[in-house]
Amino acid sequence: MTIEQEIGSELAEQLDRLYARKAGRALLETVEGGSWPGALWAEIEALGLPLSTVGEARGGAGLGWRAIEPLLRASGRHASPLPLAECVLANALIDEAGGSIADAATGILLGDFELDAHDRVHGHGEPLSALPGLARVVLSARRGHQTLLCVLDTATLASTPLHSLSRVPTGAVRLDRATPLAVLGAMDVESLRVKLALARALEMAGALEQVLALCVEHAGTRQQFGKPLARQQAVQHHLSELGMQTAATLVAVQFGCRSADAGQLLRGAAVAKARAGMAAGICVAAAHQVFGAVGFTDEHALHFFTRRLLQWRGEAGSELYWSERLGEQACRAGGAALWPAITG
Amino acid sequence: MSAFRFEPCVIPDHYTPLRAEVRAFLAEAGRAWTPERRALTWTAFDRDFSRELGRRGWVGMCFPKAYGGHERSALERYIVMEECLAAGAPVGAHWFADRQSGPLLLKVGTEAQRQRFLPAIARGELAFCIGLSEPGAGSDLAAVRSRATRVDGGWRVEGRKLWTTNAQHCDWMIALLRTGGPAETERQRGLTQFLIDMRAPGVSVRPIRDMSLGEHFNEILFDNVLVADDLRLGPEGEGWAQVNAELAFERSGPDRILSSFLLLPALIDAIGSAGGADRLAARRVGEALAELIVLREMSLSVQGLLERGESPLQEAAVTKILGVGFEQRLPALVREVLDCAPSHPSDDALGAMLAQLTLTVPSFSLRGGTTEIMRGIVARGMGLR
Repeated sequence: MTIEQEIGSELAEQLDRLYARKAGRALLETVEGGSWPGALWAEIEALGLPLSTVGEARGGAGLGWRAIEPLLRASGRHASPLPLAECVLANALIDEAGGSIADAATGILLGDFELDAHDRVHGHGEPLSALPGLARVVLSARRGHQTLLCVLDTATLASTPLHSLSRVPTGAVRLDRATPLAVLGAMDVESLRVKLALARALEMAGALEQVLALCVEHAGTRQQFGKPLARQQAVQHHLSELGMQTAATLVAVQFGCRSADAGQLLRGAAVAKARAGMAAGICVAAAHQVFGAVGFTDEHALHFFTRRLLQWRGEAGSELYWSERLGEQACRAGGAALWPAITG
Repeated sequence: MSAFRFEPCVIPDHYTPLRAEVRAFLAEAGRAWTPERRALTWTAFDRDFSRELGRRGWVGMCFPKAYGGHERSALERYIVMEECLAAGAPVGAHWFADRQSGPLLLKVGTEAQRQRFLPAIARGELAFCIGLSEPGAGSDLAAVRSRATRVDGGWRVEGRKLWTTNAQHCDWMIALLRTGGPAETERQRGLTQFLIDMRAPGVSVRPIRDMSLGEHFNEILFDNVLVADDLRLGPEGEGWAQVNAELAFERSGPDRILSSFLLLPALIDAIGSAGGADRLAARRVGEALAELIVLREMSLSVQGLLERGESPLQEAAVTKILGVGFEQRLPALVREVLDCAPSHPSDDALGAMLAQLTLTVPSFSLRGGTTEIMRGIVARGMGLR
């Protein structure tokens, strides 16, 4: 394990401890009910987690994808309703582009935006999660042939509330001559979406780990026919499927992070998000089957994790979208290029 | 939380020249292989090809030099294996010895046994088959009844083995035989492995034609076969433990994820000829690609564990279940994307391979341990049994 990876693991443990102390059902209900847990976010900032990818000169830990993998996975394991993943990515982008980093919850606004000659932003955004708590967003806007990274104050955004499967407060954002706080350097037109896709895949891997743990625990204690559910071969079948799909997702996100650190972000993110999305569909169904009617109630905690999975798999490009992208590219390259592409 | 250890195992860049060398050789050699033959890959038996690979130092790569090996790393061997499979090379004559019989001999064989067998395996000359299943012992391997009884100077073997791949062509079998009490009471105890000369008096082999008209499976009858004691492999009674260790090699390799691979490049070319990928075609190809990349990572990860001397039975079972499931879905994927009638034989490579594989994929989740048995191993690994 590299020093970076050790730091990353420590940050993940800090988040785990914080959530163990402060989080739980009450927090999830609070945020899903529309309130922003300012005190908890302040603690997350105090731990320096949103700065984990920012260069050390600017007070961060300068971590790459492989190193932040445990942190974002931990975030998913707690069904995090907070925009930690977005903030980690946004801060890294601002930092790379030479912008100023602030202790401010910063989100990522995907969408189709243009920057006019007077540095004003126009366009429609995709649903923006955790909007009430965000102080700033980053977006990428086109000007001529260039794509530029813009930082905006959320007070300047016009939005209408949206319902999402995760129930984390979400808004539909429209920008009409909004003035950014900063217009930073040119960037790849896709990089926001690709990075968010990989981050969501990491959170999904964490949520899958937790769903698996809940299922194994339930099946080991709940008795029917005079024995634990886990002794029924048909139930074992569901549990082994959950275990295997979770294992495959963990491998997929590790591949994604390794590829991203090696300069192959697009391929890594596409594989990770595609595989995590496949697993999410299988595992959500299997988990609800293992839990029976009790797991379908609002009272039980399972839905916090399964709803996150269903929401996250659709954000920043679904597994279907990313599969299509991978397939398009493979088909364009031709049959003979397929195997060399797989072996790298 | 995960019950399984899948740590990344990355093939280093300095092995790239080896891969290029193998790939160039296979491209040249492959001109002679028909699509149907390619689709069989690691069950296609070709002694000349295996000897050629042996001449090039690509069989027994990890064996010590003292036994005719090349002391290459497990990852170098992995590269050769996966390149052969991706090219549809007929590797069946050395595959089983290279994959598990050789490593097993190295691990538990006597010095004399190693000297006798390993150099010939590494030359690609000696073909081994795996004698496990029997008429009354399929998935329930502990029900094995074929028996070795001590006699003067060795053992007398009686019984029969079933579903043994390529036994009709092989030189030697490593057979799991009962040396202790009866199967009903002793189960996993009292089992011992033996090296059996397939040409010895009393050994008869009957090929079993399968639904694809291939003859890969065999039934082997042992009728009063005398086996010298120096052909006992490992200590008496250790057969079960040895077989389990050997199966981790059998269940996690590239042969559990690439057996239908050739359909994918052929499908991509057919899509191209038909005017390019529509959204469905792109999506299905991309899904397969994402799955395959992840499966390969899992298979490599198990190689890493094996290389460190661990016995990752659970991880191998996970890889095998997911891998053969993927291999089995590929013919259906082709049908979903293209209206391609299976035709056999055919000028059309995709149609020919589709015909061959549609009829062979049912065996993929049976050979090397059924998916149901693998699920039991996975459940045990998760603490459910």
